[in-house]
Amino acid sequence: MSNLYKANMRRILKNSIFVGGCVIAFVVTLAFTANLMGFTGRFEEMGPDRRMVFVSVAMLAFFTIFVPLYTNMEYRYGVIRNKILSGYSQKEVYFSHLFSHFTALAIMMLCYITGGIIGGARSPETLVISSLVLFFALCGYIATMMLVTMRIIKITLVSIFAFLILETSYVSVMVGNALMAFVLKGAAQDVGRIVYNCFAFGQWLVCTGLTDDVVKPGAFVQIVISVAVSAVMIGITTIGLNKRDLQ
Amino acid sequence: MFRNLYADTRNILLSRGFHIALRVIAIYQIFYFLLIKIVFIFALKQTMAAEEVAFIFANIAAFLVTAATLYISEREFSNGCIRNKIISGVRRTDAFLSAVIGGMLQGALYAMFACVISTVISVLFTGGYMTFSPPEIADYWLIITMACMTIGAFSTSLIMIFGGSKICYVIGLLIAFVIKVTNAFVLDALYPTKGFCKLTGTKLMAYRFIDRFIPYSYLASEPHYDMPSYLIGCGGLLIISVVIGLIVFNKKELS
Repeated sequence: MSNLYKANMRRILKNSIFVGGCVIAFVVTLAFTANLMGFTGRFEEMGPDRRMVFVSVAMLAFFTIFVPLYTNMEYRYGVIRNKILSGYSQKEVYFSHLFSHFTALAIMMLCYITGGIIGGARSPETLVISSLVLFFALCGYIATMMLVTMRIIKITLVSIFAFLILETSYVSVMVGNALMAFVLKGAAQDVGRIVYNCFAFGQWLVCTGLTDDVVKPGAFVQIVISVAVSAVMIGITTIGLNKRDLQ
Repeated sequence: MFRNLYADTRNILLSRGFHIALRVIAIYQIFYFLLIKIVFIFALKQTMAAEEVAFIFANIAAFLVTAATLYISEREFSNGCIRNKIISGVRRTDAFLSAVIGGMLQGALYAMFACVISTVISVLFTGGYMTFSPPEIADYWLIITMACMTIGAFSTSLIMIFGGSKICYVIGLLIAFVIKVTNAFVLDALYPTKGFCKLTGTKLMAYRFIDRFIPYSYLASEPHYDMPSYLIGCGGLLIISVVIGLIVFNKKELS
C-alpha cells in the first residue's frame, strides 16, 4: 500500500488543480487576513484571526471538487483493474487514496497557516486549536467524499452527489442554527449540538465565532466527533469493498 | 436544425435522468409537506396555510436543474455523440442551440411539474392561501419557471463550452452553490430582520444588482420587483450564455 500512496502523492504534488489550490489558499488567506481589499464594516471588525478562520471555508469547496475529480480517475482507462492485477486489494487502493488526500489537506493547511501568519494572525488559539479542529473536520469531510467517489463509478453522478452533500450540509447547518437557538431545549439540545458538529460546515461556523454559544461543544469534543465521523465513513465505504465486481 | 432538435428533445424526454429528476421533485415536495403537516398537527395544533409548502421547489430548483442538465447533456461528450453529429453534417451552431433549447425545456418542464404537484397538495390538503392572491401565485410560478429555464440554458451552455474537460463536471454546480450562499448574505444585508438596511454606495448597488438581475436569486425569496426586471435578468443571462457559448463552441477543438 505504501507504494500506491507514494505514487498518489507524486501525482497529487504535480496535479495542476492541487498546486493551484495551494497557491490560492496561501494568497487568499493572506489577502483576507491582512484585509488587503480594504473591506469595511462587520468584516473589518472581525480582526485578522477570525478573518483567517472565515476564509478557510474555501478548503471545503476545494475538496468537494478535488477528491471526486482526482480519485474517479481510478475508474478510467482501467487503472484500478491494473492495480488489482498487480496484487493490491480494492481496500488498499481506497486507503492509499484516503491517506494521500489527508496528506494533501495537511499541505494545504500549511499554506493556509503560513498565509495567515504573514497576514497578521497571531493568536495561538486560531493558529493551533482552530486549525487542528478544521483539519480533523475536513478529514471527516474527505472521508465522506471518498465514500461517494469510491462507491459510484460514473463521474457525473459522483460530482452531483458530492455537491448534494455540500448543499445538504449547508442547509442542515442553517436550519440547525435556528433549531438550536429557538426550538431545542435540554437533552434534545445536547443531541442537536453533536449532530450540528458532525457537519464540517457546522464546525467551521463554530470556529468563526459567528454562531450562537449553544452550538459550541469545545475543541476537544469537536475533534472527537470528527474522528467518529471519519471512522463511520471509512467503515461504510470498506464494507464488502474487496468483493465488489469491477467491469 | 429541426431534426437535431427533435432528436435532442426525444433523448431528453426518454432519458432516465429526466425521469429521476421528476421523481425527486415529487418525493421532495410530498416528503416536505408531510413533515410540515405533522408539525402543524402535533406541535402547533392549527390549520396549515398553503404558503408553507407551495413554493418549496424553489429551494432545490437551481441545484436540480443544473444537476439534471449536467447528467443529460454531458453524455454528448462522454460517448462521442457530438462528434458524430458534426461528422453527419450538423452545424456547430445548430448543435449548440438545440442543446441550449433542450436545457431550457428541461427547466420549464421541471418547474411546471413542481407547480402541478404543489397545486394538488395546496388545494387538497391545506387550508388554502392566506396571503397570496391567485395572480400573485401565478406570478411567482411564472418567475420560478423563467429562472429555471435560464439556469437550464446557462448550465447547458457551460457544459458545451467546457465539455470534454474535467471542469464541466463541477463548474455549474459550484456556481449554483456559491450564488446560493452569497444570496443568504445579500438578502440578510438588504432586508435585515432587525432595523434598516445599512448598505451604501457601490456595495448597495452591487447587492441590489444581485438581488434584481441574477436569475439564481429569484429562487431565494418571493418576487419583490416588477416583471421587466425579471425579464431583463433572465433575458440577459440567456443572451450572454448563448453568445459566449456560440463563440467558444464554434472554435472549440472536440476531442
